[in-house]
Amino acid sequence: MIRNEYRDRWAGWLPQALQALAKDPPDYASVMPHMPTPAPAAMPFSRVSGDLRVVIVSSSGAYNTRSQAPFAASAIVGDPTHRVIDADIPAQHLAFAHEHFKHASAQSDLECIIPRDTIRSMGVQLTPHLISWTGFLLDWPTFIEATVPQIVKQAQVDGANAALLVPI
Amino acid sequence: MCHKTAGLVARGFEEAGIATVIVGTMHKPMESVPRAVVTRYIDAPVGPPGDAAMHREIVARALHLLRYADSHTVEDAVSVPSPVPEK
Repeated sequence: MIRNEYRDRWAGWLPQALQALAKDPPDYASVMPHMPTPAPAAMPFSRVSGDLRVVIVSSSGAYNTRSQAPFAASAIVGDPTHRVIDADIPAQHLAFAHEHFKHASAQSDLECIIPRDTIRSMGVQLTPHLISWTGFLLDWPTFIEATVPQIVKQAQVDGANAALLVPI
Repeated sequence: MCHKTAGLVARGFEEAGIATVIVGTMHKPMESVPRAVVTRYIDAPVGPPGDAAMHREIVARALHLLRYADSHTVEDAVSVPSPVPEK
């Protein structure tokens, strides 16, 4: 395994954090402020050339109930994986695994969190897939090293030149 | 947490040459992302269910940033009234 300074710091924080997070209810307040984050670095700024082709990316933990497993949203450190979903999926085939938001609005009108019809109605092209992750996750090293590159690769394969992210 | 991890995803996209805009409800985490529209609708960042006019308003602002923002820009849409008067 290639050493990684951020992963090392995170691994050092984890043992005590697990004890607090395993309590019922989890003691988020005692551990979250101390969770290591990557060293700050300047965020790149990309520009769009030509017509927009947008991938929608949601933190709702959305998944296709007919073909995909739910996220392990109740896991102590959350679930660092993602789901790739047909952009034309009927709304009734979607469920939301993220437990830290109220689902009622999204269940009654998907446009509240995944505005696919709204974007299309404005003449903007969407990619053939939506992508979701579940917003509560503490395994940032895995998310950064594995999940984010897979999300980006999917968007590239789908021809996206822009991404609309909707965290909840 | 969602907004912070959205920042991680945005970084991955931007590093790959894919422009990003975040539609969220928290100001602080948006300070370090390229483009963001901050709204007041907890659990429904793009607008309340059934308010298609508000969805269009917020999405239009996000798409405008994608097309025209030249640098870090956070648009505050917290106080934007619904384009359709409430009954």
